[in-house]
Amino acid sequence: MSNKSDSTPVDKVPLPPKDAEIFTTACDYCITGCGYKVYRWPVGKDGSAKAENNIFEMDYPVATLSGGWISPTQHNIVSVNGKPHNIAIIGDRDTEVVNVGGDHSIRGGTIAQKCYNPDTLTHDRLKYPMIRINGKLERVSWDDAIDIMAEVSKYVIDTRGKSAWAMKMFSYQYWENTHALTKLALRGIETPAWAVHDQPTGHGPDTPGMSDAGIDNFSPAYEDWSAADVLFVAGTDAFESKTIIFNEWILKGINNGMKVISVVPRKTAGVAYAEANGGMYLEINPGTDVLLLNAMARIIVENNWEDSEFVNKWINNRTERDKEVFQADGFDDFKEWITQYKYAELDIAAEKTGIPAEQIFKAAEMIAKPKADGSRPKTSFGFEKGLYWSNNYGNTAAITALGLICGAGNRPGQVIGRFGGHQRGMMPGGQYPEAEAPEKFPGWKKQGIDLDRWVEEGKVGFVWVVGTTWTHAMVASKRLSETLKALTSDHSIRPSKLNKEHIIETYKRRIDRGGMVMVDQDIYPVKPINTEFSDIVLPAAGWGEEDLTRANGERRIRLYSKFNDAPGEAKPDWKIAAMFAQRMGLSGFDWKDSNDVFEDAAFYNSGRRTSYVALVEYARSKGRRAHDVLRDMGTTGIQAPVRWEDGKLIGTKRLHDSTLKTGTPSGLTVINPKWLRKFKTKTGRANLLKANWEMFGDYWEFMKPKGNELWVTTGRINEIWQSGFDDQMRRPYIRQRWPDNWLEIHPDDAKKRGIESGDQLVISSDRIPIEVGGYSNSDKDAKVRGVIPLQASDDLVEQDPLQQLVDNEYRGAKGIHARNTDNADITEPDPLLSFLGDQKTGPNPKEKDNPMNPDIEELDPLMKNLESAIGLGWEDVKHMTFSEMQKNGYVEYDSASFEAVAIVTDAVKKGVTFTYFNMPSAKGITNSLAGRILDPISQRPRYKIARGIIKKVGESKYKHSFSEMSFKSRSIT
Amino acid sequence: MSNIEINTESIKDSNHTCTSRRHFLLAGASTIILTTVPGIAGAMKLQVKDYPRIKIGSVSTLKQDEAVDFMYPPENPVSTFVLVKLGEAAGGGVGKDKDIVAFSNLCTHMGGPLNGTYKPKHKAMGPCPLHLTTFDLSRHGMVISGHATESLPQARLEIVGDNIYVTGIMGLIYGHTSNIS
Repeated sequence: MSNKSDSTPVDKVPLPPKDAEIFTTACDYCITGCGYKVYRWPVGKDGSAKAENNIFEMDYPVATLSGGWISPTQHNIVSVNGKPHNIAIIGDRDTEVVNVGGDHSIRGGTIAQKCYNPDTLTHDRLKYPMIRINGKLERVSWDDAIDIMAEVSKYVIDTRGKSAWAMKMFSYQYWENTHALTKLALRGIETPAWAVHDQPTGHGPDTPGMSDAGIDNFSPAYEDWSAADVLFVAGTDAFESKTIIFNEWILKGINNGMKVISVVPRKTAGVAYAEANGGMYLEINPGTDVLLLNAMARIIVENNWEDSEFVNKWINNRTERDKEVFQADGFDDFKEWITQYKYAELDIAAEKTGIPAEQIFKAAEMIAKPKADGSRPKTSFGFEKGLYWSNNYGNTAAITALGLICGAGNRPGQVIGRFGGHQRGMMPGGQYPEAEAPEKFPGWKKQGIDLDRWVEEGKVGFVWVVGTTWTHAMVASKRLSETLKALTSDHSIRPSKLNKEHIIETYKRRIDRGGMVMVDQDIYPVKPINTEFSDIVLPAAGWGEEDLTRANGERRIRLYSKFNDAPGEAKPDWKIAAMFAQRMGLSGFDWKDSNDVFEDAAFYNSGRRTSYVALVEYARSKGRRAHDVLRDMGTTGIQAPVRWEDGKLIGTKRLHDSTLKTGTPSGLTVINPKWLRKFKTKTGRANLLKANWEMFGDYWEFMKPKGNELWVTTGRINEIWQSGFDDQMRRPYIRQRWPDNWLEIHPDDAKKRGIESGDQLVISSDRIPIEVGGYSNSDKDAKVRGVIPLQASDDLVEQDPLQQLVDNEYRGAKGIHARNTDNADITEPDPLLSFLGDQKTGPNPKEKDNPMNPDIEELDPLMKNLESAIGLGWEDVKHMTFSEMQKNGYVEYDSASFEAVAIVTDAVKKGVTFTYFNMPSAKGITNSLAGRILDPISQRPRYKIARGIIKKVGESKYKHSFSEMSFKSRSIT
Repeated sequence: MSNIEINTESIKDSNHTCTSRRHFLLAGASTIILTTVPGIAGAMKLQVKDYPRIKIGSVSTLKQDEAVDFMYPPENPVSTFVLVKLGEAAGGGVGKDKDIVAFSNLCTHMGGPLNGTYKPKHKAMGPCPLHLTTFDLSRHGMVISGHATESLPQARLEIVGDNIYVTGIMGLIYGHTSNIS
């Protein structure tokens, strides 16, 4: 039952009456984005167990898989316009997509407990704006809070420039919010000191090796994950972190004969089930994926197991760029390279990955070896953070190359993609102002600011943190936490009275003395960022408290309905951004409601994979609000890019889909980019990339456990979403299961250290490499890192074609401009592909300008400016490797520790330990054990790579408890 | 769910959180008597209701790790429980070694049948044949791994002489809106 904060099980739950109201939504949590229905009825008006008296029209008890059961944790009581209402939130039993029949994870299944109810552990939601006075947060009005922020912001920008005004924000928490926030930071303020929650730098793709190959990392549809003969999975167990992609798609595939190969250092339930049903478990050492993937690719080409028909038709047979270190000059060049490359040798792979050579060979056979009748296995490739947050460029390039030679990437059941983490909720409202950022690595493009390092170098006067546990998140470091504290709550200049003028004047003095003013906007108190550090704390309204939209991992857009009141004076993030922007005198923020933001944002987004401008045009043609059209689509929603063809809105099941048939476009803005049916390159053919080990191997050797150390790798589990703010910290049922942080350790490693399950451990390291400095305009910075003095940056401003395009569209947004330039020929076959057909040799002819089949490079500035990192020579890349940075004095060594309860299990590989990735309620910061050395190409973190010393310090109280925490195996089959 | 008393003013101004919380309370709590279950170290408690008390087995014939199914509540056609002597002390366990426990056979995720899935090595139920959820029988049926939004409902047991009685249920059985109709 809802109204309690302990874990007493109850034996009764109310049912919605026949006339209960129904709202559709999707889960707030993982990428899967399951469809849910919210049933709402006034307190005191319950239905009953008889079919005629409840909204499901079912007699209770209901049958297995009926989708009509409400468990006690799925019920709550919420406030609706100040009046108490029952709600029951359950997986949509009518849905035929995503979570078919109402399947749900433990996270989404308990999401009713997320709603604010002052009788539950949600009672501490942030309700009012607050300002820290004499170290204590005091309530202020919205007007005063915004006034103070605006005054201080203007002062910072005037005295220290735009780049001293910073924002660190979630990248995913709904389009209306991210659009407003990025429009403010990137287009309004134009600051380069902007970064999203999981990355230190502002922009660029998460999986650059994949982008450079020409594949969108969310191109597949969920049904593809059941439709292969063999599914190769790296760096995740979907069972544990995108549950329903496993339950409804992968599991059904396995039960229909699909074999799954899992490449992870930890055997959880999905991995164990797949292995027991004809699949393989490749127990890999953290960070060594490139070696495995290269070795497999080599075995395949040496045995001529590649899909030559696909390769001939769909792989570029000439490099798109000259002097490029990664891009192969066609398949033959790739083959020549990989058959000679040292770090594609099977013996080296076996040694470093820890996977026996015969298993590697068998896996290569499974994914690529043609059957006796000459037919090929249909193989798909899915991956996630274990792969791409360890060796970002190399791993994503290698898995894409492996997939491509197996014929995957552009057809049903043969796809390459991410499974995903959080949902796709970024909706840019402006372009990252590269020209304002000071670094341009020699021979290379401009770099975004590394915001952590920027703050540590004292370059920020005002920072606004939105919905992220910055101190604990992926690139966490002790150095960052200490810096944030020293510049804010520990700074000697702090306001002493609740007087607006005094506060503004005090903040200005602090900024003059090198301090910083920090605003934190969130839904809960978060230790320590808003409880201890932040000067101003703003309460946000979230899921269920505002009509919001975003897409899931198959680009499915839904409306997430508002169905209850936000607590106190909490406001949606878009609204807060708009209030501030207007106070700053910025135009374009006068939205009335979230639908206004949604409709506006569409015009910035027409060329992206989440394009829904067609939906907005369609709605307007019917005189309707776009949110309402989406609401009518319920939990099914529509898959982006949304197209308007033959008078109907059409979703796009998968991208690069060679089997796609399109209709006749309706409306002004035709959405039919070439990459709907081809790869996202100039030619429409994919690039094979040569993933080298050298740009990562030096770091890996340094980070490899020495002496008594073990690998300390991190990840998610089913029961907990992100920092545990909703569940591990506030759901009694989940708290009982996971009252504290934990560490899984192999029995052999545990025995050596005298560790048993339930023991309290300290995990520490005092040689954590941290990238430092680089922004001082010294000769060295200029030479090595290409740092340009900021005052010179005005000269660098180039006309940004995207911005111009957006501006034009935006300015003309009352009527929508046609944008034919983004669209390929619709009805005619592609002359290039027809012409080249099955030819293999010789360079691709230069594609002629053809209005019916335009060249993407000329026409999609987004791709040119944002999506590609290629065009680099090895000398350029080498500069930024760990060894070179060490040599040049850009690396220092930090220390950190955290505590955990031991779980001794052979589910984790010997020599490797596993802990939850981000639990602010744990003692210490798990992520801070990982080095802060960025990928030389993508400037992305490598936070899965950490090692530490593990010591028992005593017994936890859970060791002998019967009611809290379980130490049982999570891979029972 | 009747007799809800709510102060709407206090919700609008939840600055007075304490007032609001008091008024926000669900009614019906007064009809529930909470008693601590034997062998429970933590805060977990059992609601004692008017469940029928029936004999389900005897200590002398119960072999360790042999799962025995029984129907409960008695007149309920869909609900079965499993009685098992784990061989190690458990939350809510009865008998000399506090190791005799009983749990619902219906998975609290989507009602998958757990009959026959007892794992002696792990003292666990599952994986559920539908979506692989597992439950820890030594810790009140807590989810070990998987998707269920409730622990596996645990039967309250009592031993009188050699006889094992079931006297109630902690938690709501899958598919039910109330365990007792």
